[in-house]
Amino acid sequence: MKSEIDTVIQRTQRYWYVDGLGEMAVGLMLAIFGLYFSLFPLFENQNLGLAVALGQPVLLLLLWWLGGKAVRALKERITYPRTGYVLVARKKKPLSRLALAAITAMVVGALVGLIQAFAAGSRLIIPTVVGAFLAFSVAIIGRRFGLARFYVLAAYTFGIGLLTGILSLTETQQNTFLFAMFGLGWIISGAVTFARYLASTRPPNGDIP
Amino acid sequence: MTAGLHSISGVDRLIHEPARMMIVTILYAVEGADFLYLLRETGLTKGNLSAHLGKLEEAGYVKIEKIFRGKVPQTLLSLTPGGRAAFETYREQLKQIVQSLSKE
Repeated sequence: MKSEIDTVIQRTQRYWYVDGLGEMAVGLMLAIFGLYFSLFPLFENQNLGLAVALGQPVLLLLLWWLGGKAVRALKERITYPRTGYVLVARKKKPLSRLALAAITAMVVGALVGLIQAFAAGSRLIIPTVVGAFLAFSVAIIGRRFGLARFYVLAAYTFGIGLLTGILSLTETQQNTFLFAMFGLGWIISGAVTFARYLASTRPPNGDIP
Repeated sequence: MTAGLHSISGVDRLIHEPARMMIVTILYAVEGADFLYLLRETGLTKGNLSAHLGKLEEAGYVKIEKIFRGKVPQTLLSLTPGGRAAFETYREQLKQIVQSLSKE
């Protein structure tokens, strides 16, 4: 049974998600990543095509970095003046966040590689597996921080994976659709959360020490 | 007096007060938080929150820093290592009390 102390700790730790800005940034990142796939057929030159394909992990890391900077800047302007500033506990190893980003990039890259390698024979299975993997990850975040909307997002993510497999799409269309739709879900979830946050909070009156 | 009830008398009374327990619990979950965040989360008045923070600072449990984030002046509050250890001890004691009472 969760105690009142555990509830307060969990509520404090999920403060990062209170405004939906992080979700919108992740959604935008996934959508751009998905749209990047649609560039592939444009490069018939093999060398250029290879460069575009190899640029994917770099793009993902760049988007992650830019997204983090944008979210922090927006929080400084919108969230912290309204509901306060929280310095999230960081792990002691300074490389842990970068390592997390690199691992995520590698996992997504490997999943995409799997899609490309087996797409001809397993058009249904691979997107479903990718969807299930990402849905599981989202559900873990939901459970860790007690965020009910992340369970909805997990169900949506799994559904999109399944739908992508069912639709008769080419390999490029499949990849574009899958990640763009994942991104759209995150953006909508973040936008709804953001609108509700703005409607329910006001900057404080008077000076705050 | 039962063992469970007897052990209640051994808990840290500074942390045991509800408002201060709330403050310490919040600060335990993060590296630091500003005055506004604590004000909103605890529902205390500015004066009340300041008074409780003063007591926690006096006991060496909380560090109060006046900082500038960009151009914005801010009061950043965080638990000291001593405060963190005291809260962990308090939490453990509470668990033991609850366990021993449920056995009785």
